[in-house]
Amino acid sequence: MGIIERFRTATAGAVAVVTAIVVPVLLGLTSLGVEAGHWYFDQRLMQGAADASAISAAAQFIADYNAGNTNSTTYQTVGVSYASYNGFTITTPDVCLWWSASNNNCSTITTVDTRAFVCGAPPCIAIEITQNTAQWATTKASMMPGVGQIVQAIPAPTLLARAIVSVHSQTITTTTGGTDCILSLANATNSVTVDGGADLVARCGVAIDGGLDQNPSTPVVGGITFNGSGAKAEVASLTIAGNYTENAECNTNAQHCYLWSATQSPPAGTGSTTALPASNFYANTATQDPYAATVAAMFQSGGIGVPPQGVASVTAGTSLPMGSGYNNGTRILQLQNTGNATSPAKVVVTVSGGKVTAIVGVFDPGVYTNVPGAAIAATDITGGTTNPGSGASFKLTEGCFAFPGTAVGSVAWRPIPGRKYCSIYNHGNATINFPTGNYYIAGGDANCTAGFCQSGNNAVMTSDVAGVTFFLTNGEGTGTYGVNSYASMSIQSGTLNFCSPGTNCGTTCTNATRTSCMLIIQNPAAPGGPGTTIKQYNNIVNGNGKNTLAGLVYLPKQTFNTVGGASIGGCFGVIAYFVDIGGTPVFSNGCLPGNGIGGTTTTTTNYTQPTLYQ
Amino acid sequence: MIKTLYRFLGATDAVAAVEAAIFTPIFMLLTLGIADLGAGMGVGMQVNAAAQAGATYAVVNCTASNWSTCQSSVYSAMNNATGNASFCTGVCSAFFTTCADPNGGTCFTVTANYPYLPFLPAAVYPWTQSQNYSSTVTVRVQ
Repeated sequence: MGIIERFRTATAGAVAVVTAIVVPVLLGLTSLGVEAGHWYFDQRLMQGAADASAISAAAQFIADYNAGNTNSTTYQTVGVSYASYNGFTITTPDVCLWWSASNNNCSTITTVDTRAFVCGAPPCIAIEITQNTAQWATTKASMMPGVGQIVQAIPAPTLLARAIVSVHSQTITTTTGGTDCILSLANATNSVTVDGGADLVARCGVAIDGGLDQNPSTPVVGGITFNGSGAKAEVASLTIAGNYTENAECNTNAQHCYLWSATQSPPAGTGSTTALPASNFYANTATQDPYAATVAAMFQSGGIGVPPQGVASVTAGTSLPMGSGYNNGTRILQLQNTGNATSPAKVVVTVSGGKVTAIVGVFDPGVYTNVPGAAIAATDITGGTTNPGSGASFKLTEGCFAFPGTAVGSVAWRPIPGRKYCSIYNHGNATINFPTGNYYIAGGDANCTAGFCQSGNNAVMTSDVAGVTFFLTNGEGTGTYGVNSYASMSIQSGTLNFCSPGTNCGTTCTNATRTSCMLIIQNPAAPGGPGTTIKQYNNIVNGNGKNTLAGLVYLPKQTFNTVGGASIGGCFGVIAYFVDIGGTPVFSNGCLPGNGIGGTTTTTTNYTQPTLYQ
Repeated sequence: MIKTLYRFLGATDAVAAVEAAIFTPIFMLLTLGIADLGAGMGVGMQVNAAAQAGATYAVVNCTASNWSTCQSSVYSAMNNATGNASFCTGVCSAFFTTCADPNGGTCFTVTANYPYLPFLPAAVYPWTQSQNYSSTVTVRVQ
């Protein structure tokens, strides 16, 4: 038997031979399995690093963008850095910014990784980490053990890890509080007029012409006029809609315009000697009326400026005397609420022999959604308690309530808020305090044709600290004081001490919205506005009293006119069509919402916290 | 005695058993080594998943100002990611810090650690010696 035949038939060492053949194959397959696990392991590491570096790059993008560096590419550097911190090496083209499919620098990423690029809420920052496992020593050892082409034919994968971070955008609206306390809306060179000897002191800016009647076909001329050499203004700034040449009085004639300074006012009139610098004088600048929309809505149906229905007068429900069992004397009777009153009316009557013998007058017009026509029974509530008596009834007539002053007959009376008055006036020497609330003055009446009147050097009107608001609006019906008659101010003498809600009679407005801190609001439907002149629709504050007002006086169609020696202190501002200044009123923006009129609203987009997207 | 030795050398009985006895330890070494490799890789993936989960949670929910209350939630998220409720006990760290990167910013760094005790003693394979798997994720949040 030859040696070859003997080798072929030998059985000794068979296991060793089989092992020698099988072990390399087993090892190869095992290492392949281990290596495949290695790929998945590494892919997880890559994904984590991609997520972290994409978030980091987005943080840089947000910082740059919000700082105004919208085209900065530093986010790419940061993405590369943080991929490195987390164990992987990439290059700047692997970090990209996606605004849209046609606006991005992600071509490298989308070429390497053909998965669809998901960015539902642009912009997105994307990071791609790739590793070709064919380059790995371990994979080479597993895949290319050098025993032939069979194992090498299995392709070594390129590992891909992509992270896409969507950057949240947010829109920020910033309203820069204005600092003006006077705004005149007329497109006229005398939109603000300072009369001879008057001193307009404004611890704030004065703005002229708010665009109410500005349009391209009308030359913009809104400016300030000084009547007489003694007239002057001490203001923090002056903003006019017209240009310099048409409003040269402050621009070229410094004797009229001075810079208000904290050291000299108040008291007003001690005189600033610093001319208003050019840097505080703005020409060709419109100032919008920031209250226009708010106030217009107030006088729409259902708005807070629309007066309620009330009882103008009553007549006996049955012939006098009527009822029985009432206490004798002058009594206050409250009408029953038949379901249409928020607050039922009250009348003052004379009772004799237990019967109502005479009607003195309406004590409280009440607040009605619909004043009933039928006779309404009444209960004696004199002294705040229910007193005996029954059978009296009254027929009601809807209308504005004639302001009684200080008494209804012999019954002391004080103003009731929330009622519709024909007029509110104080002629004489009385001091009338207005409890907090809204007062509606509808059209005026024979006692006070303007609607809101005061005369008498000792007349005083005051308000609660919690504040009052007077709505000046129109009357009812076709008469002299009907629908076409709008209330206005006629304060001829005496003293006013009024606070609006939110001011607490102090120097600030606690509510930043433009719905509080308003003292007098005239219906914008009132006559006046374009085409009228400064003296045509006057709202006068005259006299020698020391007036203190806190809040905004809003007369968008008419003239706000201080006359004579009147001084106005407190913290108050005015928006009027014309502003005509005599005396020494001191204006301040402290009590105005948002720190005054004017200012600008800017809207910016910036980006906040990044969110992992893919 | 000599004769017995020759007889033993010349014997062919139970050759397979003898050969198996020789190769079994070698196979055991190979198999256990691979098992250690795989199990270690598994622990490595666990710590990596924990670190990533902690970082992701912190990026979404935590700031430097609420960190005192947020830290425990980060560790909970890391425990949840590993399926081991006590994974983080004493071995995780997470904190906000000023970024080392020259571009600045606020960074969040989270580290997960977990020990691994292999089947084979260190003397057999140096790379299987008792080791601590660790994964750190650094991410800039601002």
